[in-house]
Amino acid sequence: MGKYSIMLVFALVVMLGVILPNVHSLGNRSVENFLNYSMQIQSHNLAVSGANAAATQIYLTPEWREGYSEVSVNGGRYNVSVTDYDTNKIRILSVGGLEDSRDTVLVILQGTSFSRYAYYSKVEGAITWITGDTVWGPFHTQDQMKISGTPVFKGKASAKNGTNPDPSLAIFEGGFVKGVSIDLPLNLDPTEQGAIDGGRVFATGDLWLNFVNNNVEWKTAVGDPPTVTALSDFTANGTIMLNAGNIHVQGVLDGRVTLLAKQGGVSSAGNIYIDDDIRYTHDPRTGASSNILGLIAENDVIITDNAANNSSVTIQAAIFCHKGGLTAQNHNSRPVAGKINLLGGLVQYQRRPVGIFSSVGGIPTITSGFLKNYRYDDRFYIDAPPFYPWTGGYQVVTWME
Amino acid sequence: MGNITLLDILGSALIAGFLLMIISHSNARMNETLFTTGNDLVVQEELVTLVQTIEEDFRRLGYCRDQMKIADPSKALLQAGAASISFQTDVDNDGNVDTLSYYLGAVADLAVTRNPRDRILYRKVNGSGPMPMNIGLTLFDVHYFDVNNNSIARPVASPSAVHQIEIDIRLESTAPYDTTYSFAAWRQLRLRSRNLTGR
Repeated sequence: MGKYSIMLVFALVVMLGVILPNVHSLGNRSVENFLNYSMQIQSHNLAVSGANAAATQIYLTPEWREGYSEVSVNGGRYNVSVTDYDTNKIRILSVGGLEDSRDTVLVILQGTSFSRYAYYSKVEGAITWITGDTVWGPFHTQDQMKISGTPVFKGKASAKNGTNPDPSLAIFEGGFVKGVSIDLPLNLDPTEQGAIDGGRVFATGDLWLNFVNNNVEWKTAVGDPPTVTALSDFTANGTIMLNAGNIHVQGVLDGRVTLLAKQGGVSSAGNIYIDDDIRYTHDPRTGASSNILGLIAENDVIITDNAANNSSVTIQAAIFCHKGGLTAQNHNSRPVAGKINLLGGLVQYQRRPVGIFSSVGGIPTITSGFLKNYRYDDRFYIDAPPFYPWTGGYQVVTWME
Repeated sequence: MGNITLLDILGSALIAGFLLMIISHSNARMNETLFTTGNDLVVQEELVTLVQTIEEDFRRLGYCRDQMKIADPSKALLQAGAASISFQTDVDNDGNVDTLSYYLGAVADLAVTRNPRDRILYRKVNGSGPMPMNIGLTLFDVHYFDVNNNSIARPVASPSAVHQIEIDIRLESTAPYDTTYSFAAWRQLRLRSRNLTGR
């Protein structure tokens, strides 16, 4: 009987010897599986940290390109290279590593153009944003936002001097940051240089432009017959500058153009007059469109008081007023003129009036000028008219993890 | 002498009986351990594989190599439900915008397994047929938050308001040991695609 007992014990030992290593092996694989995942996540987080650190450094110092080498964090490390890329872009490549695990994050930053703002103002003045106001796209003011009720800001919003009251009941769907300073450029030299280098420059007097798809009818005296020129011959790089005068514009544009009206020491100059609708041949809201227009005035962009503009006006452009704003000529004496249908963005030193309202039975009713229908052109998040002023900062345009 | 022999036999039989009981019990316990540990490993490996795919896809929400093709990434989230989501991305990083969808299948789709709760998670790219990601999924729960970290009711009426996403996943074994299913759970806390709100 004893030998059978020994055999049973032996069988037990064999069984344990075979099964227990399998059980341990399964347990080990389970732990290894978890550890591999954990290390991969750690590597990823390190790569993200490196990219964030580099992006922050570029935000603080736009010319910074040193990158980071073997930065030790939390038992791992990251290496970051920062290089110039394409035109006015920066490429950040961040590699995070923990033991044998690696992960990479690639970020492309692009110089931020003022055209990315749906609304920008240096001075808000007496304007109060009220219930019913809606701004689509990015918003910034160098002033304080006066808020009454619940206006809605769909994009990212920032105000150097915060809101009044603070906090307000405004609805910031894209978030709100106060204390951010993004000032207007001191001058318009880059755009001017663009016109000099490869665009078209007019010295003095007024300039009339009527875009007819990829042609332009132009003249320099109101009574002259227009000259018809292919747009590509008229301006090679799309920039047109008038050094001391006012530009009158209308038509349908098939191309990429920036107009710059400078004051040039003439007090009545430096304005762009919109004589009639100015729109794109290919509407970006109904399909792909590369048509893009920038209207840059050293002073105001003015909707002309004429018959063509008395039944609404359509403006498809990014508007930039260095010292003035978008306004309507004779805004307080012209007839009720429908709506300003703006597709684009509006950057202005100070908001200007486009109409007059009065209260009729407690309801605000327009008595002269225009109502406003401003919509943001989404392409301006990352696209801009030629040689459009830029903020000096950079924005993330792609983040690939 | 006879009594001693009888005692020897009885004693041996008793010890042998104990040993047989121990072996039998050990065998049963080891089978259980082997089965459940094996199930645990399979479930955990499936979870990690699934999670890696989901994390990679969701981090690229709103990404396109040609950034002009998704100029406004806040519009990249197309549909946001409790157990389904659809968004624009660049799956193969070729500069073309793809529409990627995840959705949970019906319980009946996995009637072949013994687990009465498990479902298939489908991944669909553009117009291609849905690809089953795994079996054994019993929870795929997506929550959405706005810019102020407020939870948004599902299905989300205005997907452009979504700034962060939270995902809960639970996998179970397709067959139980006795009546117990192995399981593994994962929660992505506040996943925020940088492309979604970067501009």
